[in-house]
Amino acid sequence: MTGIRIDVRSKLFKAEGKAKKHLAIKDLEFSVASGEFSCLVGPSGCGKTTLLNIVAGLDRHFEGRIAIGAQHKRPLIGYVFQEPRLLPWRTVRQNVEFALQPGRPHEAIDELLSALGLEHVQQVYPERLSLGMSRRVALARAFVIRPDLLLMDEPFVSLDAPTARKVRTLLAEVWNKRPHTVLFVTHNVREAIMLADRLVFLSYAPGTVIGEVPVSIARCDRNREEAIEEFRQNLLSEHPEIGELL
Amino acid sequence: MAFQRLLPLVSLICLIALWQITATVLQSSLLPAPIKVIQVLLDATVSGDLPYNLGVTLARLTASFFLAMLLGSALGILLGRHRTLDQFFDSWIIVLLNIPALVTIILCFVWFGLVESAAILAVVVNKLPNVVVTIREGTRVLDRNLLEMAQSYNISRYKTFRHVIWPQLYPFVMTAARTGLALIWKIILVVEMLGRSNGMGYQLHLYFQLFDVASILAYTITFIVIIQLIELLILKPLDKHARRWRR
Repeated sequence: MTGIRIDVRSKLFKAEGKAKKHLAIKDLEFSVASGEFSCLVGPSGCGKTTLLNIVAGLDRHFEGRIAIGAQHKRPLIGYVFQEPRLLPWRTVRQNVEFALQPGRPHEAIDELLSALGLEHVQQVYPERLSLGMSRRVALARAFVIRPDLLLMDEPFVSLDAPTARKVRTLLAEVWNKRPHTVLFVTHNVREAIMLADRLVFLSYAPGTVIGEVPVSIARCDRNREEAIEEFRQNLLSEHPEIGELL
Repeated sequence: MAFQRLLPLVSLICLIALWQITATVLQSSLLPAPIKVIQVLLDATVSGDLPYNLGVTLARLTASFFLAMLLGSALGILLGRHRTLDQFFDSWIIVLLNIPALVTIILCFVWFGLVESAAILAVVVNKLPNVVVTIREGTRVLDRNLLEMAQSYNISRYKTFRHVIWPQLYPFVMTAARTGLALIWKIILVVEMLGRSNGMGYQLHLYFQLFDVASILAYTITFIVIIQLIELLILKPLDKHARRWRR
């Protein structure tokens, strides 16, 4: 497992076609400790996805530095995108296996699939899955490689509330069994409180950190609605600037 | 339902019947009856003429088909991924697409002589731009999201090509193969007619000079049968395999 240090001085999108150039991120700096579940919370358009793409190495056009764990070896990253991004021509199981690296240790696929409630669809092609199931497959694909770092970009957006709750609980269970270093992006404060060890709040574009708050609720109390709500109320009264933002 | 399935067969029988009736009414050597054509076909098969010339043509077809597909796919992917290269070569491709097949064939024979390689080259040059354009289109519409996914998971280039890019290009490759095969069939006969001394095209030219319509039709039928076999035994199963994941 691996800690990560993020220091993005600036990320500028050049003008292209009708889009004007704009500064997406400015002086954004924070760290995630090894094995910590961090949630990045901010309004849409604050550069959250851009930041994850930078950390994942998909976007190299920025000023600053990302340090993930020991420098000499390339970290293994599991990325859960906003859309499941499954390969439609591979079955559920084959999609999960796709992420495996030759010669690297990985989770037992059968156990992981059954932990996520996917064992009965493992031979099914993604087109036949509901969105909730597809998202669980994407989670399995990210977990299976035992990533040094897990990046998640609003993975439960556009799920109906009960399904989102179910998948969130599954995520928490799988994570509790084997805590990874996680950077989780969301604009949903309740979701962040339920999952994270620490919340990092971002301002609207250009994105920059406006506050970091540890979540003090015990893991076993995280599925109690009242505990979450109480924490949220306290958070908003102590940090009114966050309330304005969201 | 049973009738629907039999429909193609019924239609074929009607066509042959129509042919037979017309031939009987006209009583001309310019339109021999089906039975006469079959007789010629059998004779040519037994004498070895037909199998030999068919084999030669098929060998040329196979060589030029695979050359054109391989080269065209590589170029298509390259142009689909690099905008500058694409802009540079776009006009070249348009020129190649629009040169009449006959002109390339004549030029190849004039420049390189009446040899086998010139014949194959002529076919490849005719077919190449078609493949390039089709595969370039396919490369342009590759799903960026899936490519990013593979990149973030640090998937090797080979695995990315095999499992992410190839399945997306496959329908385009199939289209290029289908249209390509049809095109090559037509061109290869002209090539053989103009510059080779064997093959189906050469034979057809010979029978044309003799006004031997029965032989021309016999060769044509062989042709149609071969195309149908390729479609049925090779292309259809490949298509079916590639579509297995679709609902």
